[in-house]
Amino acid sequence: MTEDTRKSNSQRRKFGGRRKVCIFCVDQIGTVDYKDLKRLQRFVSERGKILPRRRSGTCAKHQRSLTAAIKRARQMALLPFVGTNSR
Amino acid sequence: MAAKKHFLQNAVSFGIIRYWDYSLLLHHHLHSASICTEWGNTRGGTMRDRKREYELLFIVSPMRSSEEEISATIERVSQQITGVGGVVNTILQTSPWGRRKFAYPMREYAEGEASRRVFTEGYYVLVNCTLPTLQIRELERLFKLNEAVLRYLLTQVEPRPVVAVAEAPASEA
Repeated sequence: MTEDTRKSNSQRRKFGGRRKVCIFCVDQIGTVDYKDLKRLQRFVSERGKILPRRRSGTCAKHQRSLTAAIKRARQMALLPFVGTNSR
Repeated sequence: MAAKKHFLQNAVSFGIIRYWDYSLLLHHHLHSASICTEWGNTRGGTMRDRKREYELLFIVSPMRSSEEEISATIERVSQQITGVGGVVNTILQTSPWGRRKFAYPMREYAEGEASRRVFTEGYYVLVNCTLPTLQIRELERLFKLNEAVLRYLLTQVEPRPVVAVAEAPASEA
């Protein structure tokens, strides 16, 4: 078990990755607000797709409420469903 | 007694009563003989007149975009909220809200037109209100019927224990 963890650590270093910390946990936000556009836009790709956890680094709990928030924002036309590279 | 429990379970599975009602009813059924009088006196107590904080964001249609019409729409919505037994706490239509461009063109039906019309901007209004939970469906029905409301989003504001969460990591560090 120790060997495994060591391996994964060394692999991570090889690719220069650093263990990401969930931004919402750092900022101590309970559930993500769909109206908080500045924050939400950071978790959406240029095509308007929701970023996966491996890229955004959010924890599972916050990723769940984040996707809900983004979808709500889309319904209210605050965020695009698709496209718009201008953003 | 078993027959009554079975009856209640059936009522749940047929969607006549919700699960929460079912568990309440069953609880009363199992634990007190005086359930009927209690039920009659308090009319279900917490269940019937529970109120919660909600947040309503709605878009006033650009078809009704003159100032009078916007204020009339807001007035109508807040009247509907109070009419249903709720309380309007705040109405926000400044800075991020108010007139605003959509992130994508929206196609919605307009009054008296057979095909959907394309909208690119709208007037956003954010309302904080306290609503009786059982009236939500009725209120949403009214919003759907309202021609001036292009879209709406009604979400529950959760009471959050911010202070307790905020202090814990600070003491660790």
